[in-house]
Amino acid sequence: MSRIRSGQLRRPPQMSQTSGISAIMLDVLVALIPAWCMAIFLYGFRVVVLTAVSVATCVLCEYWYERLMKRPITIYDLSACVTGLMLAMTMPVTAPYWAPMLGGAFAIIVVKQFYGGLGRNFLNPALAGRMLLTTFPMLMTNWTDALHRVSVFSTVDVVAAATPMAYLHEGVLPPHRLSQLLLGQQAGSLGEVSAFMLLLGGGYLVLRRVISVRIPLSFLGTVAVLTLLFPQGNDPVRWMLTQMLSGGLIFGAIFMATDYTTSPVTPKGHVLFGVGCGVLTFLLRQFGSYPEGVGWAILTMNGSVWLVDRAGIPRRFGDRAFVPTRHFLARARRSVSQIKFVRPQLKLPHFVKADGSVAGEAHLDQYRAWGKSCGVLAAVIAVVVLGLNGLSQLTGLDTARAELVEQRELLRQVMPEASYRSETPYRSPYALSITAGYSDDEMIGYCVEVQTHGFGGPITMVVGVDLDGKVTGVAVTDHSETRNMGTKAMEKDYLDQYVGRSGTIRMSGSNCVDAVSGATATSKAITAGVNRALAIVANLDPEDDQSYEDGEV
Amino acid sequence: MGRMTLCGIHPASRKRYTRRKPLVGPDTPPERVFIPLELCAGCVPAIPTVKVGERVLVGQTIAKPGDENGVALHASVSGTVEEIRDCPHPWGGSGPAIVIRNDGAGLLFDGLPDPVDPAHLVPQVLLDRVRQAGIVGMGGDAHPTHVKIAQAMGRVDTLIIDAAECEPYCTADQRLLADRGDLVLQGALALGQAIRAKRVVLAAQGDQIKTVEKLERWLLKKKISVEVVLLRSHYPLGEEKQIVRAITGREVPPGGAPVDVKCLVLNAATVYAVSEAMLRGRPLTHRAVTVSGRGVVRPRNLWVPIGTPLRDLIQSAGGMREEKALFLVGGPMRGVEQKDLNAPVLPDTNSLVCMLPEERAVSSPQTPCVRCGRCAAACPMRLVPAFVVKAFRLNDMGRLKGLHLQDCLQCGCCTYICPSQIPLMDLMRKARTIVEGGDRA
Amino acid sequence: MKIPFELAGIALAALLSENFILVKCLGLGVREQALREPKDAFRTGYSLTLVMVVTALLGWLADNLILVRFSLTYLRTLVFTLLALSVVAGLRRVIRACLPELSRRIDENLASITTNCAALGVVLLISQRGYGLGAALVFALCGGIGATVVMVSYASLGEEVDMESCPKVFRGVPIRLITMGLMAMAMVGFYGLHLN
Repeated sequence: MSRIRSGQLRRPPQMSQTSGISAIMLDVLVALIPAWCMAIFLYGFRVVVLTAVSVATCVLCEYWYERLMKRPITIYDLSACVTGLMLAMTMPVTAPYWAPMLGGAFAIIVVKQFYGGLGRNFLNPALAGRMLLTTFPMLMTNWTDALHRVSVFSTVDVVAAATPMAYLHEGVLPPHRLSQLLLGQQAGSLGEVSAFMLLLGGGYLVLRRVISVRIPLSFLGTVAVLTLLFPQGNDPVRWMLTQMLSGGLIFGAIFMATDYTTSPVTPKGHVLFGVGCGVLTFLLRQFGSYPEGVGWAILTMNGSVWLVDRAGIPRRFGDRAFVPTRHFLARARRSVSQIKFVRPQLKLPHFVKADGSVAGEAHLDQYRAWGKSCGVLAAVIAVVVLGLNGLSQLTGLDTARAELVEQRELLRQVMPEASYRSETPYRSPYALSITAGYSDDEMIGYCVEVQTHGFGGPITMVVGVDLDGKVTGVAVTDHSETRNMGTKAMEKDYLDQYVGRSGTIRMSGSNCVDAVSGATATSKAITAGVNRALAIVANLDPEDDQSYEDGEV
Repeated sequence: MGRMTLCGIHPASRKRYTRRKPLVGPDTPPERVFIPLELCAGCVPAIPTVKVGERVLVGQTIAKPGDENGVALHASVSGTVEEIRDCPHPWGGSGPAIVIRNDGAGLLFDGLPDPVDPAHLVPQVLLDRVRQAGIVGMGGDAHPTHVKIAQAMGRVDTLIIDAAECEPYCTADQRLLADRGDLVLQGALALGQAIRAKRVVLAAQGDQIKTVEKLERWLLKKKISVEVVLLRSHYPLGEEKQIVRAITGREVPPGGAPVDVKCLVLNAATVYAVSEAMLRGRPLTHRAVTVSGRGVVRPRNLWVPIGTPLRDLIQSAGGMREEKALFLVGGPMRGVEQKDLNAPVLPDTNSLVCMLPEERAVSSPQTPCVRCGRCAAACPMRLVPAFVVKAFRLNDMGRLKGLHLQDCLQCGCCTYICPSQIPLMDLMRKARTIVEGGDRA
Repeated sequence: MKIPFELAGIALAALLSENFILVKCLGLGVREQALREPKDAFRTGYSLTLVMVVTALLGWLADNLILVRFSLTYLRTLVFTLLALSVVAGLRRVIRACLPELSRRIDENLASITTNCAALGVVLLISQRGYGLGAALVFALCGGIGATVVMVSYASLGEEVDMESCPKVFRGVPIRLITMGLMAMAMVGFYGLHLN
């Protein structure tokens, strides 16, 4: 009998790469330093204080949470510092000091520690903290231009500026030169402005093998290809380059999307993740309500990492391609084929059973029980219906009266001189309805009901246009805008601006209305609706079907 | 140059200690040699044909094969058979071995078979010679070579000679190529013709540029059609499946062998032994061993008789520098620790590495897995050790089924590269046992 | 060309920006067991989709052919509630009789969907917004698919993520709600998404 114990004295590899987690985190911090210094140069000393508050909050939250829960203290692996710094870099310089504190506490305690600490979270903590702050209206949208140093103590006397993303969201190119965008002379959050410094940091990370180029390249490449294929304006290349250099795209692609814990594990998974982030960013930037889509895209992909991990399992060494997919499809096919159609056997009530005997009384008892329960149900329904009917009859008059009052109110707001409305034979695919307003049997204008897309959903409004093509009034009948934010743009003072206007109303320049600050999207939607109504009335042709194109009248 | 990017790691090669040192014999011949009757666990032991007290000469058969898959054993020194007893085995444990007391004369046995003309080589003669010469896989798997060649006969189109020593510190095959490369190539050509391979490739890796140039010049002069390919060095390129993919681009199917994709892979030292057996009639008696590491005073490459105790190797390398060195046979990544230095050199012992603590990996405390993905990127067999770690953490062994753990080579790339210092190789081995145990149950 | 575009807009909205579970907070009234394993979640999801589509179809017919014509719109809520319940009961009966294997798999899920707010919600929304038949069916189908995706996603996430590491106070339902809430936060960016 052999007494050779093969392999039992096999030792694990005696050589190893000596970098621990804290060394990796230190590398990330170092990579962020160029962009941070550029932010100090552009925005002043407040940047340092903001960063200090953010990092201190994150580290202290982690320390106290771990003390309280009697867990091993892990602040020395520097991951809380990295979270703090990244959170600070996504703030605008005018953010109040409690904002990174709230964001940092949320990020560390809820997003990271509640799920088990380092390596166990499923959302990027810094990004989740930042996105929480984005949901606070007006908190994170106070941008200043570069080289306007902001005071450490108060942000009252700050000149607001529009970020390049705001311009791109409108579909126009911002006035900045590409070199300005590259170096950072633009308005934006601390870390995202200077693409050049970020790329330096990214290069450092790749050289030190902290991250692999797969995620940033696939993310940026997808956005580049999509923006090149679907540009707005005349210059596709300039559009693509501006899109790439504005907003948090480079920062997100290099630092946020490559976070170890919340990105897939396998190389193929990395590429799929980057492509998915790119597609979602493009979709959100192009069609969404917020001007910036990178954060939401990365968060959504973080939530789907479980799927990307499975999809990204490498092909087994020696197998042909798609073997797991084929297995899955075969299993699914087998599972579905087990479901077979069976002829239902209808059991009709027999009074005479097969063996000649008559059904006993138990049979009838069963019917009685059924009848009772059905009867009860029917009785309840009947009572309710009768009740509702009665109520509606009783209140019908009141309801009709209230509706009449409401209609009259609406008419008064939309066309003050009209006394009643009536139907017209005009139909337009771009209006919900076109009615005519009459005053003493004379038609004085049209009331067009249109629907446009606001910030939180569709806005339905009625616009009154008189026969000279001037607006007589605007009333909003349905919306899903934020209360106290978007609804400010539906107050009477604001809507009165439109009275008497004609032609195409713009947001700036000639024939413009002032948008309500903090409700730009809503104001724009209402303006678009008024323009549409004006154009429809201008093109009303008694004979033809209406055709309408967005644009100048 | 290497044809495609393969997964793996790039440890410091540390071959500079012995790269330029040519093969030399031991300073003093060993006092005794111990020739084990079992070359590996699970082999049927060879049956001795000599008795205690008998006088033997170099190359004389001293044991015949235990079954048709076994090989004959030969005396590697001339002297007297002292006893047949249990001796320590480099793979751990002990086994019966023939102990020969060396008389220092090194006299050659005169009953050796005649050289064969490679032009008229018949396959059956080749197989018989290889078996009779006691040749087993000298790159680490110790399986009888004649069985491997018989399986491949007529079924392969590529013969690959594997001189890609991927383990750090090892330079034995390198020096064999540099010093005796022409014989290797001649043997390769004859083998290739015998098994009717269309292509014979010598795969070298790393910085053996001068050797490769010299060999190519020789090949050109002799008009021999053996390809020499220099691959970018990484670990574990020397594995069969990896080198088949690097040279031919074909992937060995799971659970299969290179012969399934029409390739035969033989270690360079094995081919050298085959050449010696065919062209000079000499059986397998000596091999090249690298003794390296900072634990010995003078690292060098030695050409030693099989059966030499490891202690003698260290002495020829100038002796131990410090007592607390770690002795590994096979290299720092996959080597077996030697607790007993009386264990002998076997046909598959290609290196003895003596590592001082400063050369070894610092063991840091383990931190949780951060899903960095480096293990998945480094695994040469495309496994994902991070998923195995998760399965163990969640105590959910059902997940292990879909991870095809039977492919694991136990190469150690994952442990090498993990920044959280998780012992991944051990985890993979444990997981594999669980999956296979579950299958059998 | 406009009609498919409009339908695509409705489909996208039902999937993303008006996702039934994450944005509208409807449709989570299923057994807790169903959200623990992805296979169960998938079954619940597709049975919910089936119920939503059938209810939407019948509800649209009832609304446009009966309720509006005879100006009985005050009975809407009652009729739709009864409709949703009877659809589920009817489906269960039919599937049990004709497709026993399928019934074995989803009968429990269907039972828990009896009082699911997504089924009632979808038909109420359709009648409120005045969708046509095609739009109504697309809305119900994509809404169901969106809900299925979220349920499967949540169940798979629950398998990967450790729900026991939070403070004792939060274990069980609270941490699950927090997880669902974090997923919903990721969808905030899609509010108001529309194709133009």
